[in-house]
Amino acid sequence: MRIFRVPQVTNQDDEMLLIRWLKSEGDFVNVGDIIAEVETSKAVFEIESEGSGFFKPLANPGEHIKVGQTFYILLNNREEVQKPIELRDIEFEKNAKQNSEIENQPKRWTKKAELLAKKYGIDIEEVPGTGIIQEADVERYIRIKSEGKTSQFNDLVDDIYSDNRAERVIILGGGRGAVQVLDVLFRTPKQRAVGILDDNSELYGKNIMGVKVLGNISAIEKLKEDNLFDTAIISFSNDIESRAKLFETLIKKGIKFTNVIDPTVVIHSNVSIGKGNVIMAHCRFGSCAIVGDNNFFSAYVNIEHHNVVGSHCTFGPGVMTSSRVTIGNKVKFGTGIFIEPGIKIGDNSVIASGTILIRDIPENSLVKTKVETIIRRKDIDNKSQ
Amino acid sequence: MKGETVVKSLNLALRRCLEKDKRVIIIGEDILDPYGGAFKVTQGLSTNFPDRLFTTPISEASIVGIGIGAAMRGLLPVVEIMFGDFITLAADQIINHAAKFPGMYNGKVFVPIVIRTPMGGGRAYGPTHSQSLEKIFLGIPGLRVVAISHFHNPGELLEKAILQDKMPVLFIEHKLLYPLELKCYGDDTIKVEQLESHKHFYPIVLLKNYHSDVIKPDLTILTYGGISKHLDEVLKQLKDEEIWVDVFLPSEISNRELPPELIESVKRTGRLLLIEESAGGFGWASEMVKKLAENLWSKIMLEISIIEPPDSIIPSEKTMEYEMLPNSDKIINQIMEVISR
Repeated sequence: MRIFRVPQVTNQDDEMLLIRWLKSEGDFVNVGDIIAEVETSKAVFEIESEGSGFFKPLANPGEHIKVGQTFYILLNNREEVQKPIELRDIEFEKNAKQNSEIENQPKRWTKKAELLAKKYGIDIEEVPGTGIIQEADVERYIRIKSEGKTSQFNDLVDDIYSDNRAERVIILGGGRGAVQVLDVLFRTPKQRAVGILDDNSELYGKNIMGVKVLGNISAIEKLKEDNLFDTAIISFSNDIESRAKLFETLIKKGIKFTNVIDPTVVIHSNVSIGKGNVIMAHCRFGSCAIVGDNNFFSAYVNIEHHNVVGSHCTFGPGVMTSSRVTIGNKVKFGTGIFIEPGIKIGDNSVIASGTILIRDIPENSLVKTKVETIIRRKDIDNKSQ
Repeated sequence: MKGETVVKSLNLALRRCLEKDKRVIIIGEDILDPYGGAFKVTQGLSTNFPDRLFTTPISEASIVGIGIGAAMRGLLPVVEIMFGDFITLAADQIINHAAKFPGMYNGKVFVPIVIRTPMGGGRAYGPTHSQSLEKIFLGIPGLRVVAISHFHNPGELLEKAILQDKMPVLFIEHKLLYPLELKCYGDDTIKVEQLESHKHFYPIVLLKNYHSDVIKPDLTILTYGGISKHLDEVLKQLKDEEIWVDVFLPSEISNRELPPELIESVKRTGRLLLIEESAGGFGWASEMVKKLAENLWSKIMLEISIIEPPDSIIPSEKTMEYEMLPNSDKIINQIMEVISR
């Protein structure tokens, strides 16, 4: 079976009127036989058969036919003429032609996507996405690739003049502790905060004082792999146990810690300070004092000469030691505490605010002084009772 | 208006004008029923208005001359020139008579004639039946030239020219536009906006292939008339490539004022593409570029490209004609190149 379509008879007519067929269904026609009369906008034209065979028309007289639509069929046997034509076959041929044209150029990305990828030096083929890659897909991919690379690949100064460049510090914990640590880092020229990690996913991507929260704390290993920081510091101090645990875990993983020390801190001769300590403004360390790791000193803490402080301790503002005091590990100090000379304080103890220590404190002790009490109410019109 | 074609819109407008105003008459070759005109624009009218339509001998100068005389004597004649290529035969009447009399007689006489004619190629009609000659009538003081598109409402433009415009109007209808359905309200892809301008008597249409306000367009296109036939395909393909365009389609092409919206658009995009079908240059696009230079020189960075046919007569052979005249492939290729720079 061969299908023939309406030919383009004149230049200006895409549609014609079929006036009549000059052959009947089942007739044998030869190529060149006149089989139809059609009327265009200007004249009546005769249509010749383009092949030989048994004729079956597909359009009706009086119908407006379009150029390219199915017009008539020529079959090899007279018997087939009676059979109903499967329209499916006709449509299949039409679609097959159309599909083969379309399959030439499967478009996988838009022009704008291609241009954007080129601009950023990215191979458009590696951009993930469903369906046709669009500009937004490329944008997202660029963002993901550059996220985490906050500063240092592409630093025009640090990468070239790397001797004695500022230490890149990653801050663990994005709360108020981070604000304190950032404040100090802004004041120390040899250290620079490059990012913050926090397990609260709502902070991810946001900035704290211009420094981005890059992800949760476990992301630190990837950042280390990518060499995006030099050292770490833990900024939170409310929970000594978790502070200690995090420090120990990361040390085992090979993470290096730094000390964050305010410029106003006074450190006397022969003082030894470990790693991972945060020391806020106006603290003082007397000669020959020895300080361990991962301690948090609030402002105005005085560690006198020949003191020994362990690791993972936290000090509120204004803790005043005297000489030769020994403080163990994981000791928590409130604010406004005074310690007489030579006192030893055991591990895991908690010293409440306002305490004056005059004797040794064993391990795991909770030391409290007299608690404040309200002795009288102040009247509204200021008269005392 | 759904499904109304350009030719139908014009036909209905002529009917409305004949109904509304007794002074309207229509003059042209072969415009009477049953033939109804070479492009069927006047079909059905002589049947209902037998004393208002006049068929003429083949003399364009006489046809237009009679129309001018009738206009000066108080009628509102609509004169059809069968192919725009023949308008050269009426050039003296149009340029030295119709355009000049109101000025020469100091406003004591008006020539409210509308001269309608199809222009443009794409039908393999040959070099003398396919031209876009409207450009030689631009820049004639006293003559207004209006070109329709299917994004305008051609019937409204024609009605305005006949009933409201006191000036002589050369009304250009690109022949490929006649069978197209009107798209004055746009479609899924194209957003259509009519710009209000007190400096233009006939409206400018602004097309966008994006609907959001936050998208920054990549390119501004300035064109008119028959080129709008290609814009359906072009704007759709550009949208698929995420290339966002503003297309300005003036209808009053004799008006040299640039709409402020056009200035805004080229400031944002920095790229302007002009498309014109008439060959040989010295045309409408040249004047637009001159006006842009006057307005914006050294004020913005603007990359200007122009699509126009090469200096040649239009071939009769269909594929050669297609190669020569602006088409959607050429437009898309040019835009892709400009965007990639």
